[in-house]
Amino acid sequence: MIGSTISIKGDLSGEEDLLIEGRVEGKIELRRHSVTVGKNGHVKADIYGKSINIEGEVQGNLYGEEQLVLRQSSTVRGNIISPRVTLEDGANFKGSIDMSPKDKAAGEAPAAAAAAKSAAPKVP
Amino acid sequence: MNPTSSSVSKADHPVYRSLGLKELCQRLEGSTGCSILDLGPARGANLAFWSRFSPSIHVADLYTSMPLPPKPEDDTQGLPWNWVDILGVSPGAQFDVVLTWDLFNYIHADTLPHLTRHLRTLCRPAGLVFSLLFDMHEMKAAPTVYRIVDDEHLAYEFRTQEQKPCPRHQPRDVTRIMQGFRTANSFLLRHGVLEYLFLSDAQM
Repeated sequence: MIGSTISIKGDLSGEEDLLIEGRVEGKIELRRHSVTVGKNGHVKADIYGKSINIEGEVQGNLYGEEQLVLRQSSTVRGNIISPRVTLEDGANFKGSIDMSPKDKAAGEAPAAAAAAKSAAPKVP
Repeated sequence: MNPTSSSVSKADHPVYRSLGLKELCQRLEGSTGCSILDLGPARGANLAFWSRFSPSIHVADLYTSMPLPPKPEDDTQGLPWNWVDILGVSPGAQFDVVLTWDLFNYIHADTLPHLTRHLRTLCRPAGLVFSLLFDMHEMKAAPTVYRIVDDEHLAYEFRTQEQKPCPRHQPRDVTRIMQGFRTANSFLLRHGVLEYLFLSDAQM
């Protein structure tokens, strides 16, 4: 755990779960473990984790290998890449969310497809 | 999904039928790879709903990025907002669907063409823009948050009970505001909301 009075600048990596209640600036990489940014946590970094849970403040991109949760108290500015994303109402988020599976098949964009088709039937 | 069985209380967040949303979903049916730009705030229900059409959603949340309603001194001018910074979209990103919700009722009429011109550059050919315009005399003093209940119902989360005069954009205003788009369909709902689906005429 990184306590609320701790401030770290640099890259963090490891082989265990991590709870951040302090300040971290840099990069956080625990791809096989859970990373939690607690309510008092302030992170300015990209975060890589198996499971990521945000309750505090993050400025950076979030890469959740399995899942990612933004709690009601969270503020996140950055992009999210994870196959499963849960967003609680009240979560303050701005950025992109990409839930594509890693080995996604190519899909045809509907707008491009629609351009080649006639107009959709009107709603009665 | 039966909207009355939703966890959203009807008293707190009234639920309305949305024909525009219904048509949008019909047009997207079968698609799994479209890209969506949401100008409203992030809502878990909406994210879950769109995930069946799209694995990629950009939340711009203009509700917090822009001072809405504009300050009185700003409201009289068509200010050239820095849309690139405000929307926070990556360079080169293109979208199949843009959700503007009711924002067009709250942005100055001279500023709106600047925004829609920028949105057009972000739309793929035949990209769709979903907008709610108000036809009543008064509207809520701040934009409403819309939570998708199902394919054809929206729950309205009012952020204030205060009212202000409604701009009531007329068809000629809409044409001027939405240059580069054409109206694919529009629906006048009983509670005074005009739902529009605009189609981008951006070329490939």
